[in-house]
Amino acid sequence: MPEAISEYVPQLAHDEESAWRWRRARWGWAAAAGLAALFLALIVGAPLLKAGGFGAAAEAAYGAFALACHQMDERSFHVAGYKMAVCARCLGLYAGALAGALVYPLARQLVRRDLPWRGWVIAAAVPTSVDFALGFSGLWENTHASRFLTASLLGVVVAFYFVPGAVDLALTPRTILFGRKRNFQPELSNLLPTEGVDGHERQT
Amino acid sequence: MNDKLKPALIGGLILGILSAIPAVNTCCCIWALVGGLIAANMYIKSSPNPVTPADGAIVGAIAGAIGAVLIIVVGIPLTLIFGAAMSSMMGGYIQSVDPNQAAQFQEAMAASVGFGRAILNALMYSVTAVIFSAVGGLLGVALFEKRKGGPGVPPPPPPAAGGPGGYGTPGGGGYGQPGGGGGGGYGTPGAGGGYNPPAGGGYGQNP
Repeated sequence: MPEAISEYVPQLAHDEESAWRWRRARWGWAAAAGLAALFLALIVGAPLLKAGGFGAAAEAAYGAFALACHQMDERSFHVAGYKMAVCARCLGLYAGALAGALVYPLARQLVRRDLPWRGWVIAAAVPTSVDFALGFSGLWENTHASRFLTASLLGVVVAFYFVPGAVDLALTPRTILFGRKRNFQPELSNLLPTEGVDGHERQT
Repeated sequence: MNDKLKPALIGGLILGILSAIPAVNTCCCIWALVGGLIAANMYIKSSPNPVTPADGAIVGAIAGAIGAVLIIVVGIPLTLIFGAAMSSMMGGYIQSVDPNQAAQFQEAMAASVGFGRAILNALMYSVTAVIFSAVGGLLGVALFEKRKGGPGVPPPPPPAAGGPGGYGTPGGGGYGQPGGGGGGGYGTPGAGGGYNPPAGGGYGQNP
């Protein structure tokens, strides 16, 4: 005889702790992706603000990246007749980081807190380093497209490091995060029972 | 917090000084990343346990905050006093490499030398530096932390039920597993339940 619907036990239900972990992991991912989107919005928004006559707001947006990028007109993409807040290479980094953060849940479990193999970030930095070195030494005239594309590759890969970091931050209790060093080794004294099985005090 | 402060202080010092020097600071956020990387590296070396990504991000962010204070306190006066001289010096160097870019560079540098502009740039960049430095700290953990462990690593597979017993495993009666009969508990040589069972032996107890 079939069971009543009230007796149904969902087979894919997470337990409470698992649900909490997923919820926090999603917050961590959303924060990382949101931050990357905010940066990109500032970069693209700066020339739009300037074109719209919001000079002070545009200056603030340009100022946020003034010490992070040379902001040379010749090396930047333009929107509405004004240069973006960063150069083409930096734009590639930020755009790649946003793209990487957005595709991250499709490629990796959100609750994972371990970082990918370190070789990936080194390998991803090679194309943009070569592009920069060749251009700087005058051996090859790099273009907006080459700067943007090589840097965006690095940006995508870097996103696979900062999203797990944001997830780990979201999952780690604040008392541990800002407290003393973590100790993953169990304290032996904590493992020992305070009482023996027969109710007598344990001799330590 | 204290164990994170020393590496963060050194990372922040490097970040702050390099970001504060006019003309040297226009290196695509590299100094903020370097500050975070150095802070994370030093923290990893001083930590007896594997450092997690969150720890790396926090150390990097603290380094970024320290660097931001330095950028404001040291960078603004430096920009106002030496900004023009440094930009012409760097412009001369770029002129020898690529004359087309020299004028662009000097124009960009001249725009950041004014008092109001220098303060605005430093304040706005302070926020950016903290974020970049936190990313640098994360990358530092990925690059320099070679020890295994921490929350990101899944636990080892449990031993077969009824075996010699494991540490925190459900089968075979690990510690904290009531009613795990069969194998011993955490380091328990004898048969019996795990640690703290209602009956049937505990840690080092002969039932």
